[in-house]
Amino acid sequence: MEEELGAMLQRGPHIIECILRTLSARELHRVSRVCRAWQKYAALLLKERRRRIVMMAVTKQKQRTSHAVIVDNPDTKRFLRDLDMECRLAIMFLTGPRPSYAYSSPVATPSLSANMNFKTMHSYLTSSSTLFGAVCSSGIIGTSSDGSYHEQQQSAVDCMDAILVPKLLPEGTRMSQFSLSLTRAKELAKSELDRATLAQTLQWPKDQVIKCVILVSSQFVPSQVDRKLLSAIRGLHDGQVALAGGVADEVYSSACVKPALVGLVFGGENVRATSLVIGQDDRTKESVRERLAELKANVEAWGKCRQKFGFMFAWCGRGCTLFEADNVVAGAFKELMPNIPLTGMFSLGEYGWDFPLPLAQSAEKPKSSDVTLLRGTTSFAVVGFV
Amino acid sequence: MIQLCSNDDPPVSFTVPRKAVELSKTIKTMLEDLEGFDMEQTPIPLPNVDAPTLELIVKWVEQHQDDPPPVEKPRVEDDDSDDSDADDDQEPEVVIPEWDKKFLPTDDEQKNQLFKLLNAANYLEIKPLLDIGCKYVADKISGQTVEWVRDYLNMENDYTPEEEAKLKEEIAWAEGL
Repeated sequence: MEEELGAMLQRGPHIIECILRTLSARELHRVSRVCRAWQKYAALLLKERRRRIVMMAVTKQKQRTSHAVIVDNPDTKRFLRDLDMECRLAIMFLTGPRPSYAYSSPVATPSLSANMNFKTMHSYLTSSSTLFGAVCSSGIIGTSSDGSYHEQQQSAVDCMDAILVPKLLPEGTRMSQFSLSLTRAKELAKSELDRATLAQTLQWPKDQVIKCVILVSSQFVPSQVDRKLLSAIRGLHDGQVALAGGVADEVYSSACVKPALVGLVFGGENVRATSLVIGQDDRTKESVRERLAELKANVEAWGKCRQKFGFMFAWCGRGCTLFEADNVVAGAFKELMPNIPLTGMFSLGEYGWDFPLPLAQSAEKPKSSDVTLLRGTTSFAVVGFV
Repeated sequence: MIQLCSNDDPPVSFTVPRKAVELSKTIKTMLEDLEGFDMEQTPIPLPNVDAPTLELIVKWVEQHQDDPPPVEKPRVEDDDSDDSDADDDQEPEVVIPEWDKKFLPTDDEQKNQLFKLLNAANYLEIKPLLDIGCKYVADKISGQTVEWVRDYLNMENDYTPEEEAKLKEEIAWAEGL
């Protein structure tokens, strides 16, 4: 007598669980339609996976199909598999030849090849996800899946690095992304940029505290826009906001036709953030390390985190030409904070300030008027989810 | 050597080296509990396993008796490990070894046998066997339509048409592959 297979499976729920356990999130959602019991198990497994949430950074160099490599590498696959609806946002920094029209026409649309790159990358993600990024002819900075840190400069063509952000973030953490067209950015500069308008611009709920802003703009953004936006951000919560960012040749966003400015906002009770600017005076490896140690101390003060990730924007001259060696700054970062994936680019100007300020200086309230685009610096931000 | 008996009438018995049989956690625990008895002379009845399934089990444990025991996850006591998700108990990806690929009853007419084997592996707590079997089934059903999965596993659809339509809409994004 053959026992009914269905009945046999009902009797051994552990087997169902064991089968479902190896399925991807997408498959789990799909098969939850099989029957009620499966829906229950699928929901449980998804819930379990959501607790372990990670962001990940990947860097690939000089490979013809880098997008495929980024999405297809086993780590990424596994990462995507564990996400609920795959990726919500991918941030991609891409190197490319300096666009020929760069200094003649202020058209903030990525060059044809870069655009293709973004389109290809986006095709790997679900349609509901957003992709944004920047083309930086000066180079990119990133962490490879093997754990090595890279600074890829001028000679590096067709390198890219990407951070993938899952749809669901841990409890008490929040992230939003925004992109602004040049016209909208100019309007903002003219307007009274109050709290409500800023919140709206950053796609952020007005009543929630912002902890960190990452800003990437194209080189065509006029300086009064920078100044306005920066001072508005500086004015938030008495200056208790971390900031890092940089200027790229071009920026891209799948959510906006011709973006001139894209950014990320982090906040929520379980988010920690710190930022640091290394100035023109820090011209040796030793002094860079010393400054990064401050960053490390800030990060260590958070205690145990589920996850941390870093951003780095370095003035295009602050690479191997200054230090006469490769990977000096990223290398120092790795040495001090080996488990924090880093991503970023070489920029044509940096945004950032030190946050939190060292105790000695914190007595003076930061003046929101003197914030502007920096040059010749390296700006860092580290965000943590506790 | 240990004797195992199937649930058939009359029972079919198999003689298996103790080392192999201990791949089953259930039997291993039982043998430990009965330490001091002469287990060589006492056949162990397995009320949930029939002869063809037991034969497969015996084949598998004999093949794998010299496998290194599964590594217990080392607890890294490293200061910097606070990032690497201490609560990340994710199980490693299951890879089905070549021998096992040939061993698993994978023909469609052997489907019932495959699930009997999984049931037995579950009952006898032979985790590696259960893992590869489940991995095989998971690979088989991924990418297939829900209807196909139901049919393959003889699962009854216990949703009302309305519920199913609603669910279908909610997870439409997951369908396009």
